[in-house]
Amino acid sequence: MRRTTMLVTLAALLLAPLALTGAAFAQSGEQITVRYLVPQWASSRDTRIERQIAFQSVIDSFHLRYPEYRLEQVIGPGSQVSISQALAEGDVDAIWINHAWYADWQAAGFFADLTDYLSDGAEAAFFDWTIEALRSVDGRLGGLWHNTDTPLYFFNTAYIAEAPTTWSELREVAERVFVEHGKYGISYPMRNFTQFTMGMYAALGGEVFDADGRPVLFEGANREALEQIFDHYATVYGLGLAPAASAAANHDQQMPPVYAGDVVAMVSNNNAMIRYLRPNLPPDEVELWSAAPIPYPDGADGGRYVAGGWVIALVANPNDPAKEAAAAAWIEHMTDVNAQRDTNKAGGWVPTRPGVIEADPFYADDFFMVTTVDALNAGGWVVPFDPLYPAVVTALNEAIAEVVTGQASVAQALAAAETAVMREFEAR
Amino acid sequence: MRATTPAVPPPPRRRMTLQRFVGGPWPWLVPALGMLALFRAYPMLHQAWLSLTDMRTATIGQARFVGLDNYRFIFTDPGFLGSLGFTFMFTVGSVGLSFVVGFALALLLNRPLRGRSVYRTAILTSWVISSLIVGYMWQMLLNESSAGVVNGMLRNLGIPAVAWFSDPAIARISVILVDVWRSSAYIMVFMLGGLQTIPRELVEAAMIDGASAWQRLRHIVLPLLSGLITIALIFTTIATFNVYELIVSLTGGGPGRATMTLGYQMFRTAFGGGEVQGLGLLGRGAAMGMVMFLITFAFTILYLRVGFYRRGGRA
Repeated sequence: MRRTTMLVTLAALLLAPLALTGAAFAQSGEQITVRYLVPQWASSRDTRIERQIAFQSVIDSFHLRYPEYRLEQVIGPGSQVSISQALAEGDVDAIWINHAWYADWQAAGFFADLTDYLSDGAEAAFFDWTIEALRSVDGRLGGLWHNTDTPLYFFNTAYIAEAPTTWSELREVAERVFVEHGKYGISYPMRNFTQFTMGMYAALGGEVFDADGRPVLFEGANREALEQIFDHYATVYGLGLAPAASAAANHDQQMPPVYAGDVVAMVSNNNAMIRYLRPNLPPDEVELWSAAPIPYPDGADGGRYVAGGWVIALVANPNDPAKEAAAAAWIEHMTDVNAQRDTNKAGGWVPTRPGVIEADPFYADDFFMVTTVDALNAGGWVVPFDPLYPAVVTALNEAIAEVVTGQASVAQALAAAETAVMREFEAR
Repeated sequence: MRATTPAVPPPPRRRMTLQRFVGGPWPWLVPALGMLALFRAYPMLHQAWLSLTDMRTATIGQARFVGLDNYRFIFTDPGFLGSLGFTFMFTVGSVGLSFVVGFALALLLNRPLRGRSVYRTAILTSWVISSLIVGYMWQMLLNESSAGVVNGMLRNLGIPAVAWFSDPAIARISVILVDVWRSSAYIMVFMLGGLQTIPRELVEAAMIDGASAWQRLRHIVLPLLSGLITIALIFTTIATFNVYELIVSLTGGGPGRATMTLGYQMFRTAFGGGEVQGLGLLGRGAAMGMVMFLITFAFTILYLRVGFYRRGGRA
């Protein structure tokens, strides 16, 4: 009897895991697995605990909401090449991508249209320019924008009581600060020139491409707008209102002068500024800093603010509509109110649903978040989704640097930029 | 009358049979040759093929054959030609200075000196550190604001601050000097190893015969080290010509395009990413890579031939 009991117990112990595995296997057979390609820093496998918790909670809530679906994170380096390879192999169902890469893949037909999958009113909850930009390639909505940012004008209130709104006001403030305090009133990270300038070009009515995709920024009124922009920067640097070093700096490299107290106001690149300011200055000095939308050119009605960020795109899967529907459900879930609130909070990013920012004290009490949303509400602008756009900004970045460092006049620099851009256009 | 030696007939060529092949050295070389083919020859051939297509990072697998269009484009592109010019200038300046500094350090540290190993280790550190870190470190040291260590020291001495990276001409010199700081340690290690293989008797005999230090260097040390110098120069030239990380972290190729090297231009053309607004043109980037390969290959052939003739035509 004892022997029989022992044998039964032993058999039960041996068979139980097999039975459980079989049940799990049977269950997974019924489930649809969504393979979601995402960089580690935007996943539950990030090294930062707050991101692990935020992203895992979104995955868990997705599984609770849709028991028939299972989300599998495919952690990749997040580079354009690795994503291209995954798309070419048809290996993933949803991907986290930089907004700047969206147009190429959408135009190549890699993405499905989310429109029919979304619940009623879903699109209206996002900043309208996010939807407009994503539809601008071919009218289809290939994904949803998860988070965004825009350059802001950061200033030290000990020296500047009220932020300037136009470029002429900016120059006045910079001159006054320089005369009264011996400090620079403005610093531009010129290696990222186009990030805070192309929106202003749009504010002046400038267009980058015509309807046929031909670059038109060096023609007529567009050229005049560019000249006005270049003249502004040439004046600022010519008068010594900005530190010469910033002509060769990116947004990280212009920060040490802030810590050292040389520069009191600057245009920086979105949340990077806050991220670097807080740990590098004493708390009482951090408190002195505030932010405003970046000043816009005289003659423009208001600013247009370049919005960046990350998009979650739906990979087309015509052979398996059920899987495509599951991936669409994940994208809507990952960009809904709760997911945007928690994951953006963990990442320090700006949600693309204005409602999230207005409703949550975490965002509503933060001057950086509030200012960013003000700017984006007033004039959020997305760069043209055109494969030639990187060539345009590369040429303009180099041209402005040559102007402010005295290597070329505005006319020479624009002529060189025009040659470079038109050569690229003709080569394609 | 000169005695003539009878001509020795060459050994008859034996046909390679399977038995001889299996019994000979080839089977032992197959794994190494296979690895070389897989990891060297194939990528090289693939890159050559890529350079003849319009492949882009966004649409891998959808490339068209475009013949020599990419080469035609880059050789008529003022930007590429400017980068090529600066890269040559950078390579010549950096390798030349690195060799002089590295060799001088090697001579110095080859003498009996208290704490010699400490100096050697300290100098070698600059080579051990990643180029990217070296770039960021010097970016901070040469920062032009009051946060910059070097300018701060200059100001304390009453010398005006230097525009290390915002003045195009000075920026070019700055990147060369930073590379010299790094590469001279490598040359030093090479040369120090060579110096220690020179028999002391040779040098001592020359001293007894009244040879000056310069004469000993010119007629004993340099000829004995010529092979090593050739190798060191080949390696340093190739590494310097292909420089990328240092430029990324120091200047980003700026201001404007003042410090744009071919390596960085190739990366920016082929990929981009992060804050680098790259073009994502893999085909054109591959063409640039092929040009870089051919130039470094030419450097290697040149150095090898010079080294070969220096050794009197002996291999």
